[in-house]
Amino acid sequence: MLAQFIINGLIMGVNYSLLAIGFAIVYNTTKIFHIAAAGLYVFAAYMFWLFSVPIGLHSIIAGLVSVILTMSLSLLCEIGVYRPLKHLKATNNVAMIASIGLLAIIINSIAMLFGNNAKVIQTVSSESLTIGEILITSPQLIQVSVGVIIILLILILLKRSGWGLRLRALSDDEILFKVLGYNPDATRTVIFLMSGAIIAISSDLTAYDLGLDPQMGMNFLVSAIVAMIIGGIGKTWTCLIGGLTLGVLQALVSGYFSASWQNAVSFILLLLFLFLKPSGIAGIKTRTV
Amino acid sequence: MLLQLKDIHTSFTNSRNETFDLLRGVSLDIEEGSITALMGGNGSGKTTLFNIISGFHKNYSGSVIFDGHNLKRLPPHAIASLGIGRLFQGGQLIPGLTLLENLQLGAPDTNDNRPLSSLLKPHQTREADLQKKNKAIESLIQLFGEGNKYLDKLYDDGSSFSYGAQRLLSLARLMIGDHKLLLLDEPTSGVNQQFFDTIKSIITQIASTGKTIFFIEHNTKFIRDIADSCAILSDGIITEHCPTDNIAWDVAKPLSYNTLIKQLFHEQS
Repeated sequence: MLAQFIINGLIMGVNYSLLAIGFAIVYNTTKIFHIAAAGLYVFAAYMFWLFSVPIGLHSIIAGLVSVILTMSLSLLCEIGVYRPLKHLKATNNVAMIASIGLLAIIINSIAMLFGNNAKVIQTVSSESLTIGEILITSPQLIQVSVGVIIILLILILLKRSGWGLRLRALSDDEILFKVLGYNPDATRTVIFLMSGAIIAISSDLTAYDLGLDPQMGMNFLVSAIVAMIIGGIGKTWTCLIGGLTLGVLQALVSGYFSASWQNAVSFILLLLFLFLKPSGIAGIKTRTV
Repeated sequence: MLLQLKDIHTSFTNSRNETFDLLRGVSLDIEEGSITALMGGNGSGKTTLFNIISGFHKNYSGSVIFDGHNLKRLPPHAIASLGIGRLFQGGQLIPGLTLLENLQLGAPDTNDNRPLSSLLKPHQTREADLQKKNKAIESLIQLFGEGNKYLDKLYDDGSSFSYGAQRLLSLARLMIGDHKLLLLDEPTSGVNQQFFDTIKSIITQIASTGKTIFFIEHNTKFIRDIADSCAILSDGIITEHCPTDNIAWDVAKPLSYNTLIKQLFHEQS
């Protein structure tokens, strides 16, 4: 039983990690607390449902369409709201409030268009893989395999490419970034496109397994933000550590205690880290010159 | 002329809504290949003038012409791409990047800049990165000699270097770039004698490659040793601009900075 809970937790942890990376890429580089990511998460799930169920496209095609549309909406958030605010020298708090506004607009639009009822994408009972006492359903297998591949690709991209270096440089010092001849607006465009794609993949993988409703975004985003904080803010790979830790802990609490404590455990863990190890599990230390 | 400043005016408004004119018609020509020092009292507008040239301060009138381009409407990154490098006051390495990554950022970018190119064309990306790495190492050897300690610290985070070392290494980064003009804001401030001498030698080496250097400095010995000419910013205008050889440096006594400047140029005339 314990092994089953841990496997379930790890699979959910991969999803949290993905969403946390999508959020962290924006937060680490622009310092915008991008709450609207929860709206993008819901938007992606509904686009996936729309193109796979009513329209009837193959799940992979529907997923790709959902990713492209979410990337576009993510870029629209940047070009239509965040970038003008930045050029007006608005503080990050103003950008966060604008982000909450964007979230409300996206969620309400989706609820108005598609209704408040929950929807499912995977309607037939899925096949499953059994290893000893551990049972893994096929949507879970897809989640973990696609999730891990995407996370690895992102980490390689950020570590190996010139763009990864630019993202990290912009995140650390925007003034020096400009003076070295790099365009922050062009880099932010890439950031929001990447973030939109990652959020959409995370959302599609979850929606395929668990279904969707207009209010699903905030619950997942809160867990992802907790994963980012307990992993250690400032680096992308730490989201993976935070996501897996949180996923396993939530699964164990759900299994041995009560499923209703799943969200509460996120906040307890967050408080413990904020008091005892605010730099997160990775604990990145910097020298102050 | 590589850089021409023509009748630059700028003003600031304080918290009591009072407006004061900081620059009241700055005009100055910087010749290609020259080393020009900019002196002036605290708050005289030297750094603001550098901010205007490098595009960080846009609220000004007048014109800044660099290599035939009017810089008025260009953002900082575009101005940097035209060939203007800048050293700010304070720590200069990007803290979360390694020394090698910091130096690589200063190298001209030969990479395919599409975000997925590192995944689609890993070989080309590796080649371009290798070229940048070699260039970074070459510049460290050129500036600090074979087997210098920085070669063993290529993978240390920028934040792990001392203030003085960061200034040296950021000068090395400027040397790697394709700059025509370097704006150095107090390159020797807050560093010890050893770093002071090294910075002097680095700037001399950079100048020998044909780059033009325009720097803010308070240390008259440093200016006398490396600069071809010296400009004085006072009361919002350039009051003097003449070759350093024409300045009576021997009057440098323990005087207040403004008095020293007045006396130096009074003696010269």
